[in-house]
Order: sequence, then C-alpha cells, then structure tokens
Amino acid sequence: MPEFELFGSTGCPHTQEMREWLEWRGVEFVEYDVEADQAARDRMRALSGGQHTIPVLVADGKVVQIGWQGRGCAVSGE
Amino acid sequence: MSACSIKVRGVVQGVGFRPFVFRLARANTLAGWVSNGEEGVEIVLEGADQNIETFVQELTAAPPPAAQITEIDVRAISPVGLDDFRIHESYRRDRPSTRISPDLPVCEDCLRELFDPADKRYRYPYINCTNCGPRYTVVLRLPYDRENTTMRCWPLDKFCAQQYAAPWDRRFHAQPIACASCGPGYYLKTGDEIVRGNEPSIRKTAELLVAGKIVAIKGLGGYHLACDAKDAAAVRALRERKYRKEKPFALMARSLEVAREIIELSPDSEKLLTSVARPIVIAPAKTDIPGAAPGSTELGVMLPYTPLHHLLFEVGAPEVLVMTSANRSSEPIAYEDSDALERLSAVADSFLIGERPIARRVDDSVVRAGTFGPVVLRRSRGYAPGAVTTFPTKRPILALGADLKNTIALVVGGQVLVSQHIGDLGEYRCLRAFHDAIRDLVSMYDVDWNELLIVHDRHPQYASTVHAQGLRASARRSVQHHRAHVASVLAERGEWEKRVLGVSFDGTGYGDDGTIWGGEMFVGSIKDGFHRIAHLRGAALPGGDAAAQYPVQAAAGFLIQVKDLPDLTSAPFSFPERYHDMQTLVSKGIRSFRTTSAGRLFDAAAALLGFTRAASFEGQAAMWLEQLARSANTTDAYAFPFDGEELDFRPLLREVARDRSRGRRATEVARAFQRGVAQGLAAAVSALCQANQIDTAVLSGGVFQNELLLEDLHSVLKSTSLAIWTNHEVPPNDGGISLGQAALAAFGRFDSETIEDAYA
Repeated sequence: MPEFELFGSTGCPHTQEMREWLEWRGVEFVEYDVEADQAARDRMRALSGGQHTIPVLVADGKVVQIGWQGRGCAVSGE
Repeated sequence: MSACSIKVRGVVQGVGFRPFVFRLARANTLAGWVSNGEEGVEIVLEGADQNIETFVQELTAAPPPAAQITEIDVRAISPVGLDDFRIHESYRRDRPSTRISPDLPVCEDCLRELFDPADKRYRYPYINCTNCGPRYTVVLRLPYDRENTTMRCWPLDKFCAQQYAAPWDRRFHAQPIACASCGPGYYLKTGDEIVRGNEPSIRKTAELLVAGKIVAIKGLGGYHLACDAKDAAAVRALRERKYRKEKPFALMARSLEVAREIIELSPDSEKLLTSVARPIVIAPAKTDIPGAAPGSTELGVMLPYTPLHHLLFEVGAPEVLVMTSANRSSEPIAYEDSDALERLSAVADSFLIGERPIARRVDDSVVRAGTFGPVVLRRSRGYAPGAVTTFPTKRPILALGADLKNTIALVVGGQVLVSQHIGDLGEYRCLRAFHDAIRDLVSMYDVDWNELLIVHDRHPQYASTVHAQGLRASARRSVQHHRAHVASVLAERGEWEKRVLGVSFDGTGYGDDGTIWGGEMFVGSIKDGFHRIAHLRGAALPGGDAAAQYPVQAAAGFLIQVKDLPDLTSAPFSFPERYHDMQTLVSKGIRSFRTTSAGRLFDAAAALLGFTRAASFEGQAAMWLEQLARSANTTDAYAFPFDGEELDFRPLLREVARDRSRGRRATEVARAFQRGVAQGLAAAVSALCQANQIDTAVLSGGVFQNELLLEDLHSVLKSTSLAIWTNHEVPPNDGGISLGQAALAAFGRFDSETIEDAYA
C-alpha cells in the first residue's frame, strides 16, 4: 500500500467528503490542513504545479487526484 | 505483555508524524493505534516491554524532520489484546456522511481513454471513474457501494476488479465502473429490428439523426428525444408528435466552439456551460434555428456530458442536436425502458437503449447568467441532490414545495437537500413522481417519519397540501407561498437574522386572507418571520388560478378598474368574446377572486399588446411580452405609482391601452410598460427600505425570471446604496419554494394558523 497524503482544510466540505471516503475504504493516510500549515501548503503547491484547489490526494509523493468529484475549494494565501 | 498510552505535544500534526509512528510500531512488532487528538498525537501501544522502550527511544531520537516534540507523556495502561497497529482518524465514523453526489460529466482522463485505441475501455459508452460519471441516477440506497447501485447486476471482470481494489488507481472504489467485457451496453431498436453492439448501434443512431429521424436516446436521468436541430422538417415533426406547440427545445452542441456559433456566450455564460453540472444555458441566439424556440430571441444550449454523447458526435451525428426530455407535453421525463417504449412509440422513430437502469428520473438543469448573478431556472441533473446550505437545527424537516415546478427539500442533520425538479403536480404522472421522490429521499437518508416535521404550502387545495395530510409525521405545518420565496434567497446565504425588505412577484399563491397573492412586499427575517407591508393594488380575477392560461381573462379583471379605455374588441386589440363574458362574471361577482398577482398584471399587458389566445405553457404570455420589449429601444416608462401601501396598476394599463390604440408599436409599448414596472417597484423598494431602516432588498418569485425586468431594476437601483439579493442556488420560480418553507420551519415561523384551524 502506498503512503497517502491528503491536503485539505477543516472547513472545506469536499475535503471532508474525500476524507470520509478514504476512511470508509480503510485507506491509511496523513492529512494536512493547508490553511493552518504553511509548510504543507508549500508542499502541496510544489507537488501539484502551483494550483490552489483542495483537496489534493497524493500517493507516494505523486498527485493522484485534485478536487473531489469535480468540485473543490480554493485556498488563498501565498 | 504490557501496554501504554503516550501523548506527544508540539508540532506533530500535519508533518507526517502518524505514518512515522505507524512504521515505527510495525518495526517493533507492537499493536495499538495512533490518532490526532485535540492537544496533540495520542498513541496506544501493546507488546513486549523491551519493544515499547525501543519505540519511545526512537520516537524522540529520530522524528520526522518537520516535527518538533515539546513534551512526551507516557503512562502505563492495562492491555486489552490488540492484534494490529492502525492509524485512527480523530473524526472516524461508522460510515461516510450520507451525502450523495450529483451526477458528473465525463472527465478529461476518461475522455482521453475513450478515444485511445490502446485503452481497454476504448469507445465504451459507460466509461467512468471516481471523478466522473453517474451518481444520483444510479444510487438505489446508501451507503454508496456497488451492490446498492443499478450496476449491481454486472460483476466486475478481473481487469476492472483490480482497478477497483487499488487505492492509487483513479477507479479505486468507483462504484459504477465497467468495461465492454463485463458491463452493460447499448442497442438500437427500430420497430422489431434490433442493432446490437455499442459501436454499430451508436453509428446507426448518428446515421438516423443525419437522415432527419427522431431517436429516443437513453441518458443519465432519463430519455432524450433527439433530432438534427438544423433540419427544420425533423424539428417540426418532433413538435407535432410531442404535442409541444411552442415551448423551447433544448439543444446540445458538439463542442464549446459550436456552442459559440449558435449563442452569444458571455464569460459568465461560458463558465456555466462548462461547469461541472453541465446545465442547459439560456443565452441570446446568434443564428436562427427554425422551430427550436418559436418567438424567442434566445436559445438553451448544453454540451455533451456522457461518454455516449461524445461518441455520437464523433461518429458523425449532426453538430447541433435537439435534445429534449422524452415525454409528451407536461408529463415527466421517461426513464424506464418499457415506459419509454410505450409512451414514445408514436414520437420516436428509433430507440437507442442503454442496459444500465436509471434509479430515478432527473431532468437536465436550466440556468442563465443574469444581471444579479447566475439564475437557476430548473435545478436538477448535476445539482440535485447536493446540499444547498446548512440550517442550525437538528430536527428532520420535509418541505413539500408548491404544486407548479415542484421540488421537495429534506433537512437532515442540519444539511438541506433539495430534490431534482419534479414538475406540475396537476399532471397525474408528475404527482406519482412526487410521491416517489418523497419516499425515495426520506428512506435514502434513513429519516424516521415519526420525528419528521412536514411543511407544506398554505393553499388548502394544493395536491402537495392534500398529500401532506396523509403522511406520517410528528407535526404538519404550513408556510405561506410568498414568504417562502423571500426566505429561499436568505436561506441560500445562511442569513437567518438579516432583516430585509422581501419582494415576491409571481403568478399565484394562496395569501393569508385566502385571496390570490403574487405582488407582495414584506419586512422581516427568517428568524422573526415576515410581515406584509405593501402589495400590488387588488384586482378581480375571473376564473381564479385557471385564468393563468388566458391572458384575456386577467385583462378583464384588471381593466374593469381602468377608466377611459378604447374599444378593446376592435383593432388593434381584437379581444375575443371571452373578454366580455369575463367582465360580466366580474361585475356580477361570479367565480371572481381577488388578486394582487404581478404575474397576472403582465398577462393583462400582454393581452393588450396582442396575446389574446390561450397560453400553451405556464408563463408564456410574460415571456412573450419580455421578448417583445427586448426588440425596442425606447427610453420612456409608464407611471406605476406607489402610495406607501399599494402599487397602482391603473395608470400603467391605461397608458398601454392608450398608446396602443394610437398606433404606437407594440414593441415600444411593451418596453415602456416593463420599464414602468421596474421604476415603480424600485421607487417602492427605496421608500420602504428608508422608512424601515433596511439596507437590503430581496427579490424572488417567478416574475423575476424576467431578465429585462432585472436589468431595468439594476439600472435604477445601482445609484442607491441598497443591496439587492436574488436566488443563485435554487430557482426564483416555485422550484425554490421548498427551500424557503424548510428555512422558515427550521425557525418555527409557520403560518399563524394551520389549514385545519382555518377550515375547522
């Protein structure tokens, strides 16, 4: 099983849905709150080519999915 | 064997700490779990003393680079016999929140695979993945797992099963996936002749469309009737066979480029057209497509959204198709194969039938980019059953909406879910669909009927009201129609306490006093309720709500109050005999009802300008009037005075009749009428806001689908400091009523007496 990372935020309903979906499927993952965590936000930007949409799902350092079912929230800030 | 609980504080969340703990525990053959708590990371370990000791040492010696541990608290606890180490999510639940995704258009990745000869799903019309495809239209019940969808009859083959089980795959637990070797397919039926196989049937369909035939095509939420939009004979044949005389047909353009050729796409319209809901977008027509939208200068266009649509265009279907809901006029869309074959056998030449069953009928959504932002005219596929907003209530509420353009709303756990467009409950099949939708939504979300608060319209004879009386519930209450309209705008924004001036202009709704309302102004908030403070001057309406079909009937009621009228039975008015019959009814007080309906005022004006026949669909006369006004560029406005309580229509209609009898062009008269309505309303809004110290006005109700009226209001009101709020998530027409009912119910703002009380 690859190592999964979920970049999202606490207030984003799409992040919530992706989180619940992963949990329901029994996938282990680490979640980063990119609104509270500057370092995570930088890493998400670097991995996903500078885009601003969350959630972003990363497997073994590679982006596998941006947004949840075609929808997402925009993260502001540098 | 011993156990301990460790609390780690510092910067340990969001830095890969839990996977690090996970690997460390596994390496030391320890069982237990790790989770993010409120104050830091919490770890529980079970195993040999020595291993726990090593774990704690390594935890502090070599944590992940970004982690900064400030404190570690280790306590011994008694072991309970854990056999594995797991990462616990702090918000772990029994199952995902019961939200069902709306249906999604095919994504870029799947499209690429669809046309890649090397791909296993090359040209497979049911290709989809986690990011796209059917959702609401395949879900039978929750949780959303394959055995609970209409795909349960197709077991996955090895290839699909591998993707389904692989967490890094785009199709990991994508419930509706399939491929040509294990999934459903399409076939074409023409009479008794059947063409099997996806490729041959789709190719043949494209050929039939090119040849001017009408084909019923099974899509996501029902059947479409399709024909070449630029083949006038085919379009005419479709109108005749569908008994749909004048209501516009929706079009599907092959691509955004083709869409740009047929309608004027502003950046906002284009954004809507390509949005994830892929709705029908109404915009000004650039080319004439005879028969598509008779008498209108606008067209409704959507883009392909299923893999099948893309395949059809790729194999040569005409680049603009009529794609109208497969039904006969005013019936709900057909979604079951047998039903479609039976009801549409006299309409369609052939049927392109897909084997995947549709769980429930969902029509295409209709939107436009308006002066005050996006306007949803029909909220259905791509939007439903997405949560519109959340309410601060735990009580489950079911709001049954209004009888026209019905939608229902369910509030569960504070989430407000608004159903797909159901239709006109006066039509038997729509009423059945309404019953189905109620059962469907309530059982899907596992709501206990005995806890349910049911809200319905105040109208005692609405089919929805009558149905409410037969439903099990903890309580049943009514909410007045126009208050629900106003509340729907505030509910979308989550503004419970905002005190506003609410303007509700629509065709019809049952008022507090039992008369027909529709030109109402309120002051208040969702939390405190709405108090009616002004309205359109009352008129008589012979025939009551039935008058909506005959503009001349409304004219008879309104014009009886207007003095010095020219002879309306002669040219240019040429009112039919019905006009005098109706005025007789009014003067004798027979079957005449009192109304303050703004919709009927528009009907009366339309009648004076030449719409003296029966309307063939709801709101047609008002739409006709708007189109007429659009083609004039006069700048004058007729008087529509406001005295603090009433907007007086008499000068307005007198001037319409006078100018028309003097031979002024109908287009200019229509324009001056519309501008007059806007200026009069704007003056009333400004005066009432000032008198009541209010800074925001809310506009809702079917009349505000009139884009020209909104443009005029905008240009008059933009110089004031007033904020104008309109609907963006639910329709301003009666499709938004269910949301407004639910909002007022969540705050206990029901009508002061129930229908039962009033009729006791």
